[in-house]
Amino acid sequence: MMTTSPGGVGLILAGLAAFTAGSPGSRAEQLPRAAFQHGLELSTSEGHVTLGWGGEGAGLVYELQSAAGPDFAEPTVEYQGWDEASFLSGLADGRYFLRVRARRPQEAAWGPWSDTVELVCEHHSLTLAWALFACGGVLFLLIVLFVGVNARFLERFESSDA
Amino acid sequence: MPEGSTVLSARAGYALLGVFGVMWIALGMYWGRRARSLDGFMVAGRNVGLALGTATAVATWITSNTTMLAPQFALQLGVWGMLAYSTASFGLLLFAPLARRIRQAMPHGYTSVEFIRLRYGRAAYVVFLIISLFYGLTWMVSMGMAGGILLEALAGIPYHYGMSVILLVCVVYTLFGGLYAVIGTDFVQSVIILLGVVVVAVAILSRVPLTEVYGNLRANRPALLNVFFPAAIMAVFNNLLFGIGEIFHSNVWWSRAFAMREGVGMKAYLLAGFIWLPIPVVAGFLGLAAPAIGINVTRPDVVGPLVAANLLGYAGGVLVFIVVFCSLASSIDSLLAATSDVVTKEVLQPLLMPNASDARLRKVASLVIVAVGLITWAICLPKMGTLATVLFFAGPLVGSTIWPIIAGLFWKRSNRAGAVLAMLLGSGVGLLAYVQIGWYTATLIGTAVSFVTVVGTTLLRPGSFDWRTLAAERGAAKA
Amino acid sequence: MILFPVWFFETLVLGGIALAGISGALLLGLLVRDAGGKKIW
Repeated sequence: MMTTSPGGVGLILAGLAAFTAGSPGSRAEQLPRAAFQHGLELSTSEGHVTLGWGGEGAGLVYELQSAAGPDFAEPTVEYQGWDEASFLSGLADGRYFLRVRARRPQEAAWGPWSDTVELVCEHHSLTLAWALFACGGVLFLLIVLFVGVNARFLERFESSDA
Repeated sequence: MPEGSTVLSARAGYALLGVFGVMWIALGMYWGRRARSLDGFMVAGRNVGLALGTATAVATWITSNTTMLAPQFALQLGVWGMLAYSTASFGLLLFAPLARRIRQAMPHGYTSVEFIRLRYGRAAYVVFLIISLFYGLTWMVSMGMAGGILLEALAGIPYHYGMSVILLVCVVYTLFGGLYAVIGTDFVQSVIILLGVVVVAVAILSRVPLTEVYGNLRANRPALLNVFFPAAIMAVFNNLLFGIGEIFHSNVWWSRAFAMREGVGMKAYLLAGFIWLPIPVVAGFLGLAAPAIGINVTRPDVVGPLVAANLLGYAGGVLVFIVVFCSLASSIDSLLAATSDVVTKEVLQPLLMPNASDARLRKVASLVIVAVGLITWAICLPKMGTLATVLFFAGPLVGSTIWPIIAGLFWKRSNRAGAVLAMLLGSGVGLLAYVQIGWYTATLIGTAVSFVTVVGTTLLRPGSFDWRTLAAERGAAKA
Repeated sequence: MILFPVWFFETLVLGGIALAGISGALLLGLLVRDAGGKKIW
């Protein structure tokens, strides 16, 4: 679940720095890391996706953030809480960048951000959709007409030489 | 909220299961006193009135899919998703004239497979039988799985226990009461479902105004309000045709056509269709309300119950539990009965006991119900696949039966070879489309291929079917 | 993107809830009528 990415080394160094910079006598506890449980390049043609993540340790509080750019200049908090998954839907065409971080419930300090997920949302072609809609519509109408017309004249089946 | 807690305690869940389970079994056995004869057991005496006829059609078509998949659909595909799901009621509406024709053509009939056998002969019978049993079993398995998943999500009852109890309860009361038990319990279940869904929806509205739900969607999930949502648009008629295929071919609906008193069938199905129409919209609303209430949806397939339980607390959890249990039971019992009818009359009787008495067949039908229940249970155990995919696979198969059936009922010129070819080609090409292109084309293509085949073969080599073949006294005509 | 207007959404949902409620009452009413004529089944 936790990948040893280049960022991981940086996190360890940051942890060490935190340890050495911590107040004298405090236990050196690394802030919890969080990571997504799936690949970092996701795509959807229906505007929805289920994100899943986890963190070091149990009972962590997570924060899921999304933004339009990889620099997270104007981020939106999608979710904050105990859950380790979130289903996003109704997304319009575009690229979405998402990241998650964790903290222990009794502490205020958040752990470092996870690797960034890039979600590309590209809806099906509307032309294709209308084409299928039209085909389906025609088929449906044919059934309605066939049944409807025949249903009006059920009496003709009564006579023995129908 | 720490991970692992559920809205209802396992104890409450088991208690509800117990109370309602015992209630259905008691009612089933009480009404089942009428089901001593074969006609009583399989077609409820052929005298069911409008109230029960309508209710049974509504309840049976409201499956756990309606109460659990509709909210998911709405959350995935938005307003269009809700509307698209509602079109499944068109199958009920269109079946209305068919119900009338079926009763007219086969006053002593028992099953849809019987019709195909008499109308189109042996080859068609084999193909249709396979499709029917595959669909019936797939539907039952999806119901069983849904039950297990739901009980686990709501009350923490382990999947295997929940699934087993639901199947067991349904098998027991169907076993004792046949179609009388099925239809009788359907009435109670339909009223509970309708009232339950309305109560949950109204309760949600009292906490969150509709404009706020709309506003939240607009801000955070705008595509759900999109008038031109591609994925939804392309799915509309695929799902509509799937629904029509399901209803037109399945003995679940044919057995009711045989069971209803003369003159009732058409009205009952028309009424049922209109009653069913708004249900996916109301259920779908639960899904769309989730973001507005601030609920984080971790998996979309339980968003309906999640919303009700989160917003209404314990009472909401209890209500959802009851509604979904009812929707499951009302469908599983119908499938058990309908499938056992087909296997008993159209497989076991011709193969093993062509001259069996009605009393003997009645006993055999009971055993088949147990067998079908066991097989379903065994397939449910490993909990494979997701709810939707398991069922959608049957789409092209049932779609391919639409034209052979309506042509078979109304067009004396349609011939045997055409029917067989239509079902085989439609199923085959449709399945190919499912795999190669996508699920949203499968039923569409299957139905289209079947339509062309039926019409083409009928025009090229028109037959001349004698309708009287269908009306023969049972036992007198052996195909 | 063209969105379904809020009035459409409201009508759809409220109308659906109303219809579902009426349906429940309708079924009960039909049962009473059938029972009166001893035509339940």
